[in-house]
Amino acid sequence: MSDSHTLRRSHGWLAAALVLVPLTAANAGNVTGTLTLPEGVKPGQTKDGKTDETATALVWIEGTEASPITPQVPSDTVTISQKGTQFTPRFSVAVVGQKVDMPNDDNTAHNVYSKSPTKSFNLGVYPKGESKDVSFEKTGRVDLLCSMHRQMSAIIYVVPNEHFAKVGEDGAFKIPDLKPGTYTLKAFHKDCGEFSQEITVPEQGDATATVALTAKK
Amino acid sequence: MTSTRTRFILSGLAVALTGSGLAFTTQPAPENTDGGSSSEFQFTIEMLDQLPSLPGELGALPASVDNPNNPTTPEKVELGNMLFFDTRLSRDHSMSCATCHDPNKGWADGRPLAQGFGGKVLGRHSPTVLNAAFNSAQFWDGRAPDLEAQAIGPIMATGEMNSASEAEVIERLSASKDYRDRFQKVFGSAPTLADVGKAIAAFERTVISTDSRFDAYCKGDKKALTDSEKRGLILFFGKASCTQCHSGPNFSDNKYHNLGGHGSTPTEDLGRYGISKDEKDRGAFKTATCRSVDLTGPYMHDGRLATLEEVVDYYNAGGGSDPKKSELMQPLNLTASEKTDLVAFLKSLTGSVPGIQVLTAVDDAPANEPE
Repeated sequence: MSDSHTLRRSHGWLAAALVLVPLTAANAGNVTGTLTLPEGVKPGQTKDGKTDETATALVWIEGTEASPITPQVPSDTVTISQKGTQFTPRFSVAVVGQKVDMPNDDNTAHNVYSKSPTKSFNLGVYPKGESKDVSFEKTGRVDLLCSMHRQMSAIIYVVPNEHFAKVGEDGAFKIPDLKPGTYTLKAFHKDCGEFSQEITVPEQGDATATVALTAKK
Repeated sequence: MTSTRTRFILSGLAVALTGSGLAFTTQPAPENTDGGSSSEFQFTIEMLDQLPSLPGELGALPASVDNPNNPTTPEKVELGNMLFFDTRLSRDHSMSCATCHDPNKGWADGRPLAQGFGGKVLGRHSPTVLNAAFNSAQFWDGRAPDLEAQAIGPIMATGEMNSASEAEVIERLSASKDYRDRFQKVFGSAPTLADVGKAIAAFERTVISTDSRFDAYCKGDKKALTDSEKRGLILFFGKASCTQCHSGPNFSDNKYHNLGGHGSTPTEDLGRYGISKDEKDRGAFKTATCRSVDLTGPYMHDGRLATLEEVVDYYNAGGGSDPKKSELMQPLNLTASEKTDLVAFLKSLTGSVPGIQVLTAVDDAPANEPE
């Protein structure tokens, strides 16, 4: 930890980027654990037990005053295609500021919009082969809809930084490569209430957590 | 519109309520419901009229179409005209191309299923010749790459015109000096079956209709379509997603799709699979044009739908029940007025039918007796 800080100061960002990966890997811990939903529902299922991509469960880490996280906005783009009169994929995660591309891959007109409190926008109609992009200024759930095709729906969950993981169908998750520190672990499932818990990544080894989501109030 | 939307949401909520006996709340997340809010994003007629080009690559047809391998000449078209209406091309002189592709019946036959040789009912509906020149493949299963190849098929098919042999066809045509002279002039040789196909194809390339009100609209006359037709057009490329397959100026992607229903014919028709042997083509048929569709009923590959209203209802229900049907076939949730608008738009795709003067080769030799 202190080694990397010294390096960063003396050799600048480029050098840090080049050597940080092996160094932090040695000092980084994972947050692993399991997530459960009420009534035996599995991640990837709605509250009715129906398999639905938008019912994907998500966990992420937020920085605290003691252990702030400087977000790295991923340079790669999140892509949500309009294909077969549906969104593909129907659940995406974007970091605040990350570009979300929404190509129309259908030979039909779509009008993608969202009225979500996180961000309200309307992309209008554009033809096959064209794309529009959106990025988000704040975190939270964004519901994508098409004003022409009511069967189309998707969720984008906007997280503050790149430390997130989609939860497997078995409930297992792993958020890799966190520096030692005390953070906030959060979780999302569209039919569940908010979840927030303190989590400490030790100097050596991993942190484990049990996330029990409860039904939305 | 608004009331229908509200009704739909309420029924959706009722399902959610009955379906949740779990610890989860029964209230759907407010941000996850439409709530009618999309109405402010409604694609309006004003927006339609300002589009530089239409979604789904829809547009006006060119005024003419040609095959570089078989250039159209007036003499070739005349010869093709004679052949198209000539019963010499069927074994017992009972049928010509026009038997199933009658200019007075939208260049089809008006029957659900085609009637072949001896009145035998065939397995598929006669497609129209009108604008077939704009297709990139012919027949419901696309087995002919162009009109030249298509034209020969029914002449020789046992179930259709049932000609005895290529030699027999050539012998009958060669018996006419008029035909011999015309083939010589157009192709520089005595009649051949391949040249019969070329001449008929050249004629069929004149059987086009490119002056519908939709074409006029695409060319800039924004008053050429009524408001109802314009609403239908918006549905066509939007909510009803017709352009997923009926795309481009001739309203066909020239691809093959299983719509989910082919159970009404006596034997299961494998469609494109019979040609491609590709499992995904099982029960799939070529996307038919929507142009002049008002003239070419009944509809579908087996003619099982009599009216455009029935066709819209069929698609609105998400097609048939074949588990192999295309995933593009989904319920459309069209309202009664939306269905009316969609049918109105389909009827705006009919232009003038070319006035064809039927030509007949001078028969200067006794016709062969029917066998």
